[in-house]
Amino acid sequence: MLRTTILVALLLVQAMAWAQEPVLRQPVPGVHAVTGVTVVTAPGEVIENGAIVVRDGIIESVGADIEIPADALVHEFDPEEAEVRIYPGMIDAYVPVPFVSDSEEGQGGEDEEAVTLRPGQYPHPLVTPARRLSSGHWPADKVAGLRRAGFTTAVMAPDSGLFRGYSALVNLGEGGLADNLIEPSMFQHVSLGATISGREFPNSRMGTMALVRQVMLDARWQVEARTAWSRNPAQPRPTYLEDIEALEPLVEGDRMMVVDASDMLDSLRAARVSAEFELRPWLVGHGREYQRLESLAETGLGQILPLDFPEAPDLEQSRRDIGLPELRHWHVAPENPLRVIEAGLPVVFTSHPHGNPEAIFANLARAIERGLDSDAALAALTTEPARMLGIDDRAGRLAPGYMANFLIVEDELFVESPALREVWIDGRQHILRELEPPEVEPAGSWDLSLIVTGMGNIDAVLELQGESPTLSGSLEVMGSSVPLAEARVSGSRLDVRIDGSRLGMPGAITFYMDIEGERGRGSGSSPQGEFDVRGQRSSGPDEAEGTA
Amino acid sequence: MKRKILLLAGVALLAVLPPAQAYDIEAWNSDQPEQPDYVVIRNATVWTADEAGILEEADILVRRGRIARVGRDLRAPGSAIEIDASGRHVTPGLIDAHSHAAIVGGVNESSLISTAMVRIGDVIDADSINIYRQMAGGLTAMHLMHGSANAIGGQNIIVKLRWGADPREMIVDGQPGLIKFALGENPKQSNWQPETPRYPDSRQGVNQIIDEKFQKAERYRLEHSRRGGRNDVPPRRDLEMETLLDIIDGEIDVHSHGYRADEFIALLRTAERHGFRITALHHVLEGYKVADELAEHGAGASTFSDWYGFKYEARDAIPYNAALMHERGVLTSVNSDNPELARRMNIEAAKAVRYGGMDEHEALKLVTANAAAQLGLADRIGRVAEDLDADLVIWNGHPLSVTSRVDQTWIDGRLYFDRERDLESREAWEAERQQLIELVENENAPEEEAEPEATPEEESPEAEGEASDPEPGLDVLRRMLGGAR
Repeated sequence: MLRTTILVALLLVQAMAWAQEPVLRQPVPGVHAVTGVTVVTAPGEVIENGAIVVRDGIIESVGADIEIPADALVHEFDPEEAEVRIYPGMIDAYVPVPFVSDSEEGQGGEDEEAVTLRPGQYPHPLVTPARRLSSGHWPADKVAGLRRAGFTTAVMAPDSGLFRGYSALVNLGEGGLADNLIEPSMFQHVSLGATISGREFPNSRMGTMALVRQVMLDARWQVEARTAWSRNPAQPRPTYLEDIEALEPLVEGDRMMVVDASDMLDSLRAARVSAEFELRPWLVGHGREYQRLESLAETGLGQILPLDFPEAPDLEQSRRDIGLPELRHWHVAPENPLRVIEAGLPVVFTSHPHGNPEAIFANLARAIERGLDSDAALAALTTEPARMLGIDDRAGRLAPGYMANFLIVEDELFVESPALREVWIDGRQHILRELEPPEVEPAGSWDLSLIVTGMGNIDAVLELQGESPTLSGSLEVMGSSVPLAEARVSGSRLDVRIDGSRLGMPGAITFYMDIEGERGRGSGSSPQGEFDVRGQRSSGPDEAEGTA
Repeated sequence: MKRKILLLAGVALLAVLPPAQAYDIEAWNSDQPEQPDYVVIRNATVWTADEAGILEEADILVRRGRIARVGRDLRAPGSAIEIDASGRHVTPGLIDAHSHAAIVGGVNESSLISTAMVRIGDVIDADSINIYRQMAGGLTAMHLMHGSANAIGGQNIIVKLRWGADPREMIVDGQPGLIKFALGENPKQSNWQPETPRYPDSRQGVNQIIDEKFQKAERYRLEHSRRGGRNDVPPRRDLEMETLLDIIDGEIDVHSHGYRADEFIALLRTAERHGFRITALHHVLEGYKVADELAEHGAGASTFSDWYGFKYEARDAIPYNAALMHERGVLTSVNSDNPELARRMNIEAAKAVRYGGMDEHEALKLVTANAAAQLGLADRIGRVAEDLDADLVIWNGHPLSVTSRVDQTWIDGRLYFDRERDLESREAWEAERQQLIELVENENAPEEEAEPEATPEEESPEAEGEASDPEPGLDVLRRMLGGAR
């Protein structure tokens, strides 16, 4: 009876799964050709007026004079209108996401027995090396955000614990894990910052270090013990800890470790404890690598570097007692990526810890301004992570046989807020900004209200000159004026972008208005959040141009 | 009344503002000082902290980080760096036998009753400004210890105050293993109420659990000694047990926190039962009551000069403790247990002259030779004697005087602290600050000049006129759309 019940229950679960998702993956749409574009096939390798042909998710050909197959859907760009460039899709080597639900996470924390746990008595709540990304936890929002920023491939890593589990290497297309998985067990992720608050072991950094050592010893022991027992079963069978078995590939050297470091001393600490176990991990950095760079360079370990530079200190608040350490870090931080690369360490970039991955562009622009070569920056987001991930035969550049992962940008990619138009993943087109023929001419002066929920309105004047689709101009607020980075018309819609750096803030302010006659309404977004926009044209193009 | 309100407002403000890093020098960009082949310090009053006592008009010759000769009118190679110390005093670098001044991520692993597997060596804070400040007070080495939250705490490490070095370069090579034990109120958690009580909560329980842990360790040894060939399942390794066995085997020295005489005796007996000795008792405020027993066991004592009464078990304290224990043949040091106090350990030593009438030279040994001996480094540091490390302090006056200060601190024959150099650097730091503040101001200024074509011409004069004024409009945009991160 019980068995029948279980069977029925299983069938029901199965049926629900069928109902939710199609079992089979739909075939990728067939053949595409993108023409009239500048193709950056790899860092420093540029083809002017080129084209790319994609068949079934794979790049078939790329170049200046390639034949466009008769069965291809052609996406034609006019180089006269604007320089449109194609770049290899960017790869984010470290995207921490939750792998388990909160209820699971809480287990162990409340277990009274755990108080007397010694390291090694597993399961320990911080030691979950067997975790893997499951379909149920596919981070769809994160994936969409990365895609909007031009990423096509990412390492989704577990975001909590000490031995956290294995990351998954995925493409960032539509659908879930099933459609995007490249490698389910990429790296074992470790964070030396993991402690338990309260009275359980470990509640200090040195305790965490001791637990790391004990776990590694236990992983070795289990391999040895099981091997010895299998050779001679006439002895007591050693205990078997399934979580620990997940570490066997580390012990055997089949998998690599990635360690989160929170500061420079942590980086050196991570390198030391790894060396004790003959491991050569990649380190997730913190932006202060420049501080003891010689010592870090001696380790030879690859660095996954964040692009998160501090804002200028607030002089109004603290001019008198502002510390040199803070000022120094503010000044040197944008040079950190360059310095680490020059020290000869392998470097890849990550959008971590930004909630919005697009924030990397403003930071990259600062790094480039401070001497980072833009090809080196591109390499750290394409070819270098591809090599690190062992997929440099498939990803990181645009070449026949490679995954059709690329992005289409107007002009350069590495500017403060690049004009990304399309992202292609596995040969599928994701349109970020579609341009239609202009139907309105919005030149002139517009009285705007920017309505920020909970904070009130900002009254502003938008001055626009020129003709659709591209205009120039400025936004005036209380007599202060800030130039527009971009103003573009598509159909009856006006899109406006302002670089945050003009205001000494990160990211960009963007908004749009749908224009009907002399009125417009729409919305926008800024690092602070969303806001609404209302506009009324107060003078026409002639008057505006007349005074210009 | 008004003043009181102002004061309160000030206090409230302090509480709100994040603490500024109120120092200019940072370890990571401080270069390691050169080590000259030869240094000779001339005409100093040299406190050897050794049998030679205090030498007047003496010279010290340093060769590649070691003390080569001590005496009068020493000959030195022409290339030697000569320092005229006429009218000044030289002592060995001071040693703090009990410190937590440069540890990151928690001084205590406070969870378990025994955390023998954790290591302070993993968490040395080479960036701590305490290192520089204490060195400026003549300290050259410190015993970085685990806290006292558990009966058997973590493993300690002895570091030199090599400001600018990496953590592992600060570690003194050739040091013995060291571990922290603790007795009394802290391990039994008398002074706070944990949500989940931990055994033990009595003094006899602390003694019992230490005894039990060593019994377990002996069993562990037995288990591991039985292993046969490669086809035998090996016993699982346990880092805690291995540490305890190292204690029994004399590879790791025990330094135990404690206050009360009865507990000291209990610990000595427990250790003796398991075949090892307690290297030093720390704080040991009732040590004067059982000085003979400590001396007989061979336990050293590292005490506070005059702290007392901060908890119940610290009531029966007297400032004569150090002098009395020393008199009865206990190897005695005084320690700081506090990063501020560690900047003036010479004064802590001087208190033993004031309380107990200790000979001045003997008193200095409390923070030099005796501390070195307790730490198992008597042949390396703590005295001005041939072949020892050239860790030296040049004082502008009598080292036990409250008005004296440090002119130079040498570690391994390298000039790590120099008062003149520090004073000169302050101008450079201020210039650096002003330069960086200027860069911040440029960054915050609108970038209108950079792309004049981006703004309509008619706005140019207006924009220029406003350049010196604050930009209220931009401020509004920043505030409402800027996004505080």
